[in-house]
Formats: sequence, C-alpha cells, structure tokens
Amino acid sequence: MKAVLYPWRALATTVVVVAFLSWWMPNQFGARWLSTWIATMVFAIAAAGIGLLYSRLGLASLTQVALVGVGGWVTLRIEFALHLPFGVLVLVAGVITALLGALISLPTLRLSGLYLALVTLMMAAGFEEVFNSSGFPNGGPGFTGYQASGKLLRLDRPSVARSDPAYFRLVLIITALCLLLVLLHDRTRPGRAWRLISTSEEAARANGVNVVLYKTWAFTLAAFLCGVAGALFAGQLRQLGPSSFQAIDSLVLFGLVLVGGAYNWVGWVLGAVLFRAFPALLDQWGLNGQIATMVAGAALILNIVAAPRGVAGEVAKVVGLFRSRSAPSPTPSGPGEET
Amino acid sequence: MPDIRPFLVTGVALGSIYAMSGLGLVVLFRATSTVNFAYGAAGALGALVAWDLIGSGVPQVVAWLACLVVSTLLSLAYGMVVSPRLADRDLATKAIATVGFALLLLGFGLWYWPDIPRSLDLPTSDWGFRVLGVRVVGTKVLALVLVLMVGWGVTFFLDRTRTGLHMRAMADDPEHADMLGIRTDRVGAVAWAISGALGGLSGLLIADLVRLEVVALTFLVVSGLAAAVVGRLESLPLTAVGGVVIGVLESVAAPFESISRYRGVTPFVAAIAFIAWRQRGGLLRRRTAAL
Amino acid sequence: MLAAACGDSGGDTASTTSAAEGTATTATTAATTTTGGDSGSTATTGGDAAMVQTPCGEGTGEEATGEPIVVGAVVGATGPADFSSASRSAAAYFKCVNANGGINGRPVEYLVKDDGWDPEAASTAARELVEDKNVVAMIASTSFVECGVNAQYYEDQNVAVIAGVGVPRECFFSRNIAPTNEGPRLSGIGAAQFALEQNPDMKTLACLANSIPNFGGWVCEGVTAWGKANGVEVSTYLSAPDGSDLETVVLQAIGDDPDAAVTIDPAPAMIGYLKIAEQQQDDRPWYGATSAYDLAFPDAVGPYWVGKYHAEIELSPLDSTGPDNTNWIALMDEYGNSDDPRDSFSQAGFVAAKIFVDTLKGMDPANITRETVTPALIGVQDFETDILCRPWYFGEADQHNANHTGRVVELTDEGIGWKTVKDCFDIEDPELDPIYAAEGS
Repeated sequence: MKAVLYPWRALATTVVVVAFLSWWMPNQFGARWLSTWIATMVFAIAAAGIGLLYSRLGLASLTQVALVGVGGWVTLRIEFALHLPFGVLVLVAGVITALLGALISLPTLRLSGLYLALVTLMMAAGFEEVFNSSGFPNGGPGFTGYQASGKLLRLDRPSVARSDPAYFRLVLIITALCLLLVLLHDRTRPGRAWRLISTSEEAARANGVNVVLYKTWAFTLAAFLCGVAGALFAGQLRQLGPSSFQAIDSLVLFGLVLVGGAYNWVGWVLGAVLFRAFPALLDQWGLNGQIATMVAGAALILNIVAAPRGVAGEVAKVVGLFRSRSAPSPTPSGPGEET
Repeated sequence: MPDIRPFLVTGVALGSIYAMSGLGLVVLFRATSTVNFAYGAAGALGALVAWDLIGSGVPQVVAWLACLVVSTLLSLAYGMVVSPRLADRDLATKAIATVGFALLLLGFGLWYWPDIPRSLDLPTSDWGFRVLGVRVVGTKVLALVLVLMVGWGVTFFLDRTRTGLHMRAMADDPEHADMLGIRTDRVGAVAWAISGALGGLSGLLIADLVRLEVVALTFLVVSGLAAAVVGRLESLPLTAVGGVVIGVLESVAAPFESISRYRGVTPFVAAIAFIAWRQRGGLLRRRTAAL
Repeated sequence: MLAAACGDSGGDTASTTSAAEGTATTATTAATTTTGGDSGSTATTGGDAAMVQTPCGEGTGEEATGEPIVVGAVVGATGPADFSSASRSAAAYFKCVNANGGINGRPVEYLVKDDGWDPEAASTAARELVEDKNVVAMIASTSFVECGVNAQYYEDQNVAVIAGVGVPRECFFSRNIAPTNEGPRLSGIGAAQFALEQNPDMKTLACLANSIPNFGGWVCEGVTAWGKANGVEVSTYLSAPDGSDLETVVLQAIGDDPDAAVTIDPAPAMIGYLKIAEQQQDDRPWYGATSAYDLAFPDAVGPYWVGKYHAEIELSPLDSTGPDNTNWIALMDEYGNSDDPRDSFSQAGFVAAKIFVDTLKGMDPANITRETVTPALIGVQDFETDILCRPWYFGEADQHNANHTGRVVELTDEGIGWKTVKDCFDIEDPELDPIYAAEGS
C-alpha cells in the first residue's frame, strides 16, 4: 500500500473519545445498561460491514448477523478444543469468518442487487436452520462441539477484562479499531476502487481495477468484522444460543443501518444503538419491545422513500448547511461519499 | 432405506404451501417488479384477525373472509401509498422497502397478539383418508387443489383478460406502458390486491397446517421466494412445480438420520443453487437492466 | 370453610379484610409478559375456595409497612411457550404475605423479568436484578435458557436461586440453583418407568422432545439410559422448538413402530403430538411428562385419549386435599389472576415461595441481605410439604435434585380430567446416583 495520508487529528479525536467513554460509561450506567452497551458495540462492528457494502458498493447483504453467529460459533469451538488466548481467538474467528465470506461471495459477484439480496436472505434463513439444529458448542466432542449431557463449558474472558466494566473497555477499544480499519480502507486504494466500481463496473475495469478482487475484498472485510463481533459477543455472554442469530435479526440490523445512515460511520453506530439500546430503553419504560420493530420498519420505509442518507446523513446535511452559511448546501454525490 | 412414502405425502402438502406463496410473489413481481418480503406478514395478520373473530364467536366463513380482506387491504395500502413513490428505483431498493413493511407488520402483530401458542383449525381438517400409509387431512388436499386452481386462474387472468394484458405489458416494458394508455397505477393496485388475497389464503392454510405464529408465517415468505426463484420470478407453472418439489425433497429427508435435522435448509439451498447455476450464463442480468 | 394460610397462621384464622390489594408488593413484569396462561386453565379446583379467608405471613390481616425485601425471578414468558406459571403463583404468595404483615413486618418486592427464551435477554435480566436491584435471592425462576447463561454469574455474585421450575440440564447441575420440581428428564423417565409397568413386554420406546440445546437431547438421553438398564430400546425424535414439524416427528416415531411413546415437551407441543397421533388413529399407549398435567389439557386433546394417556407428575395431584395444596388453590383464587394456570408448575412456584418465606421468618429482620440469605437458603433441609412426596433440601453440592419422587395420573372424563393411578415412587435415573448416595449417608 502506498504511503497513506492519515488524518492525525481524527486519530487523536478517536483516542480522546475512547478514553472518555471508557471512564464515563461504566460510571454512568448500571450493570444492565452496561451489558446493553457492550452488545451495542458488538453489533456496531457488524453494522460497519453492512454499511460498507451498501454505501461503497451498493450491495445489500441480509445475512450479516448470521455471520456474527458464525464468528461466535468458531470462537466457542476453537476455545473448547484448543484454549487459545482471547486476543488470538478474536483474530482467528475474524479470519475464519472472513474466509467464509470470501467463499460465499464468489458465486454472488455477478449477481444484480436484487438477486444478491435474495441470496443473502436465503443464507440467513439457512444459517438460522443450522444454528437451531446443531446449537452452539458447549464443550462437547465432534465438529459441532455440542453435547446434551456432560460438563458444560463456558468461554472465559481474558484476565484483564473479567469484570463487566473491564470487558466494556476492551470491546470499546476493539470497536474503535474496527471502525478505523474500515475508514483506512476508504482512504486508500480499496476505497478508491470501490467508488469506481459503484459508479460503473465497466469504467472501473477500463481503468485497470480488478473488480472481482475488490468486490471480494469488501465482502471479506465485512465478514471479518462480523467474525470479530461474534467473538466479542461470545466473550460477553460466555455461551451462545441460536435465538440471537435468526434471519429476522439480519433484516432488522440491515434496516437500522440504513435508517441510521449507511454512508457515515456515525450512522453505523447509530444503527447498532437502535438495534440494541433502543429496545432496552423501551423495556425500561415498561413499553413493549416490539414497538422498536415497528419503528424500525416504518423508519426503513421512510428512509428508502425520502431520506436515503439516514439520520446521520440528514444531520450531516444540516451541519453542513450551518457551517457553510451563505454557500449552498452540498448535495449527496452518490455512493462512496467520504465520511 | 427407510419408508419414505408417508413423507412423500406430507411433502406434497408442505410444497403446496411453498408453491402458494411463490405464486403470489411471482404475480406481483411480474406486474410491479417488486419482490414483496411482506407477503407473509400481511397473511399472518389476516390469519390472526380471523383467529380473534372465531374466538369471539363469529361464524368461520366470515372470519376467513375477514382474513382475506385484511391481507388484501394491507397489501393494497402499501401498493398505493409506498410503491408508486419507488416506481423508478432499482429492484433491490424496492424489495428492501418491503422489508420495512414486513418489519412494521411483524412488530405490530407481535405487539397486538402476544406470542402465545394459538391454533387455527379449518373444518377440512376433520375429514381425511389414508394414502401411502399415512392419513391425509382435507386441508392438505385443499392446499394442493388451491395451488392448481390459483396457478391456472392467474394464468388465465394474465393471458385472457384486459387487465392481465396490461399487467404483462407493464412487466415487459414499465417505462413505456404509460404511453400505451395503460393505467399503471390502477393495474399495479390490482396486482397488489391479488397478491394480498393470495397471501391471506396462504396464511389461513399455513396457520392450520403448521402453526399460527406471526414470525413463522412471515418467514415462510422466504421459502415461497425459493419457489419463485426456481420459477425465474416469472413462470407460474415452474414456480408451482418448484415449490412442490422443494417441499417433497425437504420432507423426504426426514427419515434419514444423518441429514434429518438439517432438512429445513432445503428451500434455501435449492434457491441458492438455482441462482448460482443460472447466473453462470449471465441470464439473470436480463430483467435487471434497470439496476 | 377452608382456611388457606401462607406463612404461620398460628392457629389464628381470623378473617382478613383484604382491602389490601394495593399492597407494597410490586410483582412487576417487564418486557412482554403475557397475561394469558400457556394452557388457559382457569377452572378452580376447590369448591368453596373463592370464599376463603387467607391469613398469611404474620396472620395479621394488615399490610406490611417495613422496608421491602427485594426478590427476583427470570422467566421465559414470551416465545414458543409461556413458562411464567411458577412466578405467578409465587407472586400471589408474596401478595398474600404482604397483605398479612409481611415477613416479620417487611413486605416482599417481587421483580419478575421475561427473557423471551433469549440468552442475551436472560443475561441482561440477571444483571439488572442482581446488581442494579440488589435482590436477596431469585425465587420461582423458570426458563429454558437462563440457568445455562447465568449459573456461573449467580455463583460469582453469591445469589441463591430456588427455581420454581428447572428446565434444562444446567438448572440441576449448578451450585447455586436448586429447583423444586423434578425436571423434564426425571419426569420423562418416570413416565417410561410407568409405561414398562403397564406394558411388561415393552421392548421399544419412542422418546419425543424438542431440540432446544440442553433440553431435548439431555431429556431423551435420560430415558435412553434408563431403557438400557431395563431392557428397553429407546429411539429419540426431536422436533423444532416452534412446533413447525410436529407432524413429521410423529410420523417418524410411528413409522418405526415402537411399543409405546413418551412425550416430553411444553404443553402446546404435547397437545400437537397427540392430535396428530389421533389423526393417524394410532393405537399404542402414549405417556407424557408433567407439563401435560393441567386442567385444560384433557379438553384440548379430546375424548379419544381418555384412559389411553398417562402423565408423570412432579408434585401432588392438583385436587389433593393436603393443607399446603389447599392453601395453594385458595391462594391462587384470592391473590392470583383468573388466567394464571393451575398446573404443577404453579404448585412448584408456590413451594419455592413458601420455602423462601419460611426460611426468612427465622432470620433477623434487620439483617436480610444477600450475604445472610444465601447461606440460609442453601442450608435448608428437611422442608416438608404435602405438595412434595419427600422433604426438600438445598445443600452445598454441584447437583441439586431434591425432588426425584413422583406420581402418575391417567386422563379420564371425570372430575378434573385426571385421576391418580400411582402414588409416590422414586425415579430411576443413573445421573441421580450421586444424589441417592448422598441422601443415603
């Protein structure tokens, strides 16, 4: 990769924000909310993958939560077989899920947007069936690692992050790193290639861009993120169950990423917040959690019809209006807009 | 080799369900280029309304009609309010908007009808006969018969009626259909209504044959999509046959111990395999030029 | 007139005015707990129970006004089946206690959270109850997922859990969790034991359960292990938890032509199995676990099964006339909701609540914290009640299954729809050997 002009200001801001949240949030929130925020960040990592595919390449992948499940599954299976350090587990889960992502992206490379959405939805439904049927590893033997009787094993958190507040900090740091990873891609060759491809594949090819490579790269990256998210999720709950990775979850998270704003990393995080924190808030207020599902659905329709940049995008527009004062507001220029 | 005969029979019934959903989806896609992910959810809400009515003592026939009316109206509401605003968007976007509608309906269904076990019993379940070693209830025969009737009926409608002709014209050339004097909004509405009614019908049958549960009913649309994919999103006979075959394959896997647990993936694997195989020749680009 | 007591009545059956409906109890159920019972059994089992006065707690008839004792529960209410029954009866019990002077003057604040059968929700619920609300114990929890997810957490946080109904394996194999029920595995084995007793020539048996992790496989493994020791070959058939493939499972089971079938599932699925078996005009004997035992089940499955279906029950018959059971009936009528199920899970929740209240009565009311309550509950021994065949105990152990003795009922068309055909008998499960050994010493 060529030398990268990395905005040091952005990096510094990230460090400051992460440091602040590390201190402030465990202080501010009780045990219940802290565990909700951990889950929010886990799915923010997955949301980054969704947003990346949709905004940079115009591809709708409806199976990303299932891939989080795959990441979690891999984490548990490997841990119960090999007992690796947690950091290694996270990376291995990411890599294996990434390979799976690459594998399943190969037949989809020439598919149109609609058929890609259909195929990924089929995959989500298929994964749901498989998770329901074979369960998640719990210390048993064999490939599935599941046993009905016998001693049940649970994933151990790393010794530096045993308690909930400490684990929160660890997940926060990893989430920030994952988001930075995506933004790094944006500002270097993959990002440029993706922008070209989404404008026109023919033009990209004419410019010497290897379309197959970069499309696969995007899928692989998104799957890697889901794998990491799965590992962190497994570390949070210490065992996993199929009910967290149903097809509907992939659909809802996808919708919420669009609602939050697929073109902007703030939107990805916002999508995850809507996915996990908003229902928790409803629960706290004694309201039915299904209201969140309804809001997600209605918001998605509104988003598609009227506000394709999502909440984050609309806010960015307003902020941009504010900043430029007399200058006309910048109009969205299509997929791949800089964040 | 275990005895697969009882499972052939249940497979045909299961497959009829898939086929029915597939037909409704294909009809709509042909007219409006929209893959409607909310198809099952609309039917689910209709079935729940029917269940409520039956529980309040309303005569069954009225309740079934109510189911059809509810799902038709829901479908029509989307078709007249949201769908026209997305008329010139790409196929994927249109489909994703229907995901929003599905979530809206699903959330409402789970909110208004808390998730407790319910069952809907159609009177056809009281009558049955034995075939191939298993007792088949009337409802299953009804499902198969309905698939055939609907398939034939819709084909007739598309081939022989004026509105059907307009619908096919819209599907072939949406941009110029207006210029030919076709009332695209009206024809589109008819398509949404027909699809909604079929969804309500599917909902009633599935509620009886499987279970009356809103998430399960909503997600049966995915299996229906699998059938529709086999039908290339355009051929009704192929969709029907595809659905039934998928159902049979899935059921017949049941007595084979090693794969039995995973037989639920059959529709999805079939769909993915089909798409992957067909796209090798670039055939799937044909109707998606608008992307 | 029956006098129901929840606590020490001290022989004082003075009338309670029970204007005390708006008591200090908050049986709050967050999220989406349904108010519909899982089987809709609403009939009362006692004739004049509705007219009963129910002195509980101190028997004073006055609201308790001290500082609340906070107690929690995690239940799987919304989802494939509603398992909130035990927490509902516990809630009714605590309401009664609060209306009658509380525990040494202190009312119980009962917080019930619904995990919707989701491990993530169960984990969050436990943290809220234990760390944010500071419960002193978890009483009458009933969930398919929470034992597995939270067992280690409860141990780390020093919380004792008297599960109203333990469901999956972890509820019986965790240091800090002791259920009052037998558990589906024992209940299923008990049914199989009875099946062999009724059909001495039985050589093959089908075991039908659902495929939820640490449930179906574990449960049927138990029946299989029992079968091995008794010359019966058991084949396992697991159905999807949402009940979508009941027919296929039943067809598979029938297709292999076993001598009998035993079903171990939540009630809705059990009803489904029987309906399909009836459709297929199956004529072999069918047996079930305790989840079938409620007042709505006989009507739901219809007259075909009269005399042909037997269930192993974990606690006393619903219409038994022992003092605690009568109390439970009266209590549900007085302080419960009309749509709370009256099933064996409800009895189990009542027992769990009673154990808690009776234990805390003997403690210093000014010193009720997790640190004092947990050892007190773990130290419970020889708790006798007519609802259980044998005395209940907690104890320091890795496995808790004090209730391993059940009865069998037959489906009839008289009375409550069930009649007792076999009285207290011990369940023969190889996994229970450590327990039997410890009890024997």
